Amino acid sequence: MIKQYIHKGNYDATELDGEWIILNTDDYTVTKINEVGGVCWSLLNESQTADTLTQSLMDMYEIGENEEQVKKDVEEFLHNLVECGLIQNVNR
Amino acid sequence: MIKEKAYKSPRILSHLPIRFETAQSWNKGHGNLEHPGKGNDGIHYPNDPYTGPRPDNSDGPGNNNGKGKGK
Repeated sequence: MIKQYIHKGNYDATELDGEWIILNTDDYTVTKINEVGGVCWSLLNESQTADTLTQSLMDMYEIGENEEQVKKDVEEFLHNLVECGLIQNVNR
Repeated sequence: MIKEKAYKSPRILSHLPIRFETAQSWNKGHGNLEHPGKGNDGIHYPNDPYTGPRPDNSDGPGNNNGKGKGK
């Protein structure tokens, strides 16, 4: 089954100088992510798969690397967001 | 559609817990006493509080040149 992810809670996110700061008021943590990560975070407002996020990034950015590499980056980023407790797997 | 910028892999730059400080975190012993909690004994205050005589307390007579409240 293809894994779908979405925000775990209604967390505040602010963009500052090309970086995003996410305030998790459930676990009392502050997470800083880079600009492309912030785009992914915004899209994760609705359920997303690694494929849909990859496609969105391919559409938005001039990507020199191939799509497979972008998908790997996205999968690793999603895994890290899960570890930080910011997103959850919808299929669970 | 105009594509924005060069792509950089999405990344978490930092992930830190929020540290809470109480009304007394920087007031060891003689700080603001009018607060609802019990404080945390001024964990961040760098020095021990002054415990010597003061012109307006009962530890000693003082030398009558302090800025105490008087009687």
